[in-house]
Parts: sequence; structure tokens; C-alpha cells
Amino acid sequence: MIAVRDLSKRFGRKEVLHSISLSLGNGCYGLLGANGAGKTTLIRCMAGLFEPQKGEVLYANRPIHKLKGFQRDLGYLPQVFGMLPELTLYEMMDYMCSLKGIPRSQCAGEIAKALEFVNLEERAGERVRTLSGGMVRRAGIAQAILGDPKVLLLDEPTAGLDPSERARFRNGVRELKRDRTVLLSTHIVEDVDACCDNVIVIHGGRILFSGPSDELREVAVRRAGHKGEKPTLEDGYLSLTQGIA
Amino acid sequence: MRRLYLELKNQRLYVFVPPFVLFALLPLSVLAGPQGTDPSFLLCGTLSQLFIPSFAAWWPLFILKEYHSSPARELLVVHRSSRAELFSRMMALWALYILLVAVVFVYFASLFGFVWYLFAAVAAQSMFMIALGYSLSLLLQNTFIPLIVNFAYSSIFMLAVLDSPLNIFTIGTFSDAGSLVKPATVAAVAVVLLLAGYQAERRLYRRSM
Repeated sequence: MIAVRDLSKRFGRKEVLHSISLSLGNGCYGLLGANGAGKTTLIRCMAGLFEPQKGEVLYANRPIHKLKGFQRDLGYLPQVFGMLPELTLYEMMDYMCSLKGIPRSQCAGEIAKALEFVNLEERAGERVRTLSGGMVRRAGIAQAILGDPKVLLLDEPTAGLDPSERARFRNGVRELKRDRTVLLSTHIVEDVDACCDNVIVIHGGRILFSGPSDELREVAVRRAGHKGEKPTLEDGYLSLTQGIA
Repeated sequence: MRRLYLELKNQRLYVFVPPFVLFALLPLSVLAGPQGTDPSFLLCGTLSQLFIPSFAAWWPLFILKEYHSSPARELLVVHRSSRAELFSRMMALWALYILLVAVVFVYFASLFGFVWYLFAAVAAQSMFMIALGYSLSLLLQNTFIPLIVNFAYSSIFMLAVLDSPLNIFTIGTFSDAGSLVKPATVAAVAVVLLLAGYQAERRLYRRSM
């Protein structure tokens, strides 16, 4: 559904992404990497925020910059979210509905559904400014799923969420991934383990691994000689990235 | 229009600053005038040019702030519906502001008779100030400096440097069509600035995240 072809991104002299190629169909993909690995830059390129120096992002086999409808099919949660803080949560969601081009007649239903998804329906009348950090994060997730987008790009969605909300989010993603592409960028391996069938490991702007989660677990066995209990995704991730400067 | 309404609502009390200036500060200042004299059209012209254009860019710059320096920026860029999103905002805000100015000028017309040459002049000057704020904020990716420039320009050229060719303001009575020559030039410069801002919006905005 969404693919990245030979994509490179440079800021000044620093090349942040090196010839990245990926193809994502329906399902949940976990994008794992250390701080500064290039996760956010890759997601921003995929959302159309950054123009890459080389390569392109394709949606339905067409470059996204030539597709007018791509933004309507996209749900995006940026790494830092905080929007129109003096509006109520409902008004902020209404604004996002309008921004996403969702017909006015559908907005109330879409907003109710999205706020229920993140357990914020009772906070709809409160100002965004007065919500806690975790609630603002959940509001960010809610705006991303407005309009039932076919592609969801979520950058650190669980940062700042308490354990019960993280569990709720994971359950929600399991529902969402059935009929759409969900790319979940994080450095919290447990979240990827719980929600995603596929993992992409990025390191130093290069893809180290892309494939099913089970294959990454096997990497732990092959490379590090993991013995004993079944290796976790974290074992696979660590064995893949250990020793790489 | 819905988004514009919500963006204005997000400004909370600050949104009332331009209406306060237009409907309270300006008329009261004109009526107060020098002690012991009737309100004069010359004073009305001076105060209108001092207050109206300098507060024209108030709403636009507060809205541009969300686009330049708030955490909302990424989403506003990702989901913007056209490449001229901000340009159309500036035009809508200018129209809204001039509508309010027109209401004040209906009152001035009841005091001084024909005031519409002065109205045309402040409309052109207001467009210039919005265009200046719009293009500067896009070039600098910042709204604080354009806000300072806005008030500094109005104060310096209206109160101190009156005869500079860079001055968009006119000292006079605006009693005939000849007084519209300078405002027409100001409007033309405003259009050029708006087009420059529009080009900057198209070319620079996306790349500068």
C-alpha cells in the first residue's frame, strides 16, 4: 500500500537516511531504532513533510507528491503534538476534521468514535491546555484516526502514557491493523512486540532488518547464541544492533 | 471558515484587541482631541492611520504563529488543503478587518461627512501591513520580529519620519480623489508583497520543517 523506494535524506552535509527501501501492506509495522537512528525523519518523509534528496515515497504505486488524495488517507501523529491549546478538545478535533477534509455531517460521529478509542470522551469539553501530557498524547492518537485513514504513521504514540492506557492503545492497534497500514515508530520494544507482526530496525539511517517479528527473534538465536527461554523481540533487536557503532 | 473561526477563538482575549482599538480606543481618541476644540477630520485622519494599519496584522500574525512555531505545525503542513492556505487566510482576515473598519467609518461619516477617501487609504495601508507581516514571517519563519517591525514601522513613520519615500502614510485631509494617489501605490506594493509571500509559502514552507 505504501512503499519507500531508494530514499535518501540529507540535512546539510549530514546524511540521515541512506537509500532506504521498504514496502508496507496491511498490518502493523514496528519501526525500532535508537535515538537519532532516523525513525522520525523516515516517518516525516513518508508523511510528505520532508522532500528527500533521492528516491520517493509511493502510495498505491504513485508518488505521494503527485497524489492529491494521499493526505485524506493518512493519519499522522507527530513526535511532538500540541494543537490549538486554548480550544476545547472537541473543538480541536473539529478543527482536525475540517483540516482533513472530512464532511461536516460526519464530523460528530468521527470525533465521538476517536475520543472513545483513546478513552477521552468525557474530557471533550475541557481545554487542551488543561489536559495532562498523557491525555494530550492520546488526543494526538485520536486526531490521527479521524476519518478512518488507510495509512497510520504514529511517531512515539505511547510516550507518556500510563500502563493501563498503553495496554488500551495496544488493543486498539490490534483492531486498527486489520484493514490498514500502521507504522509505529518507537524505542519501546514491548509495544512493538505486543502489536506488530512485522518489524523494521533502523540504525544510523540504514535498515538493518525488515521482516516478521519471529524472524527478528531468531536473529537472537543465530547471532548471540541465545539459549534457554524463547528469545524476546528485545533480544533480537539487541543482538542485531550490539557492536554496531 | 470554520477553521478560521476556531483559529481566532484559540487566541482567547487577544482576539478582542483589534475590535477594542477600532471601536473604543480610536473613536474616543478622535472625540477627545485637543482640549477645548471640536473633533477634527485632520486628527481623525492622523489617528486612523496610526491605529488601524498597525493592528491589521494582529490576527494574521497570531494565526501564523501556529504555523511557524507551535507543535501543531507538522499536522498543519501535512494536511493543508492547498499550497496557498496561508495566502487565502491573509485575504480573509484583511476582508474581515476592513469590514469592522467600515463600521467605524460609518460613525466617522456621521461626524465629518465624506470620509471614504480616508477609508480607502487605511484599507490599502492595512493590506500593506498584513502583506509585510505575511511575507516577513514566511521568510524568517518567525512572527515575533514581524510583530515588532509592524509596530515600529507605524510608530516611526507616522510620528517621526513623515517625509520619507518609504512612508505609506499621508498627512492631510483626504478631501479629494487626488489624495488617493499614494494609497494606490501602497496597495500596489502590498500586492507585490503578498505575491512574494505566496511564492515563499509555496517554495519555502514545506522544505523548512
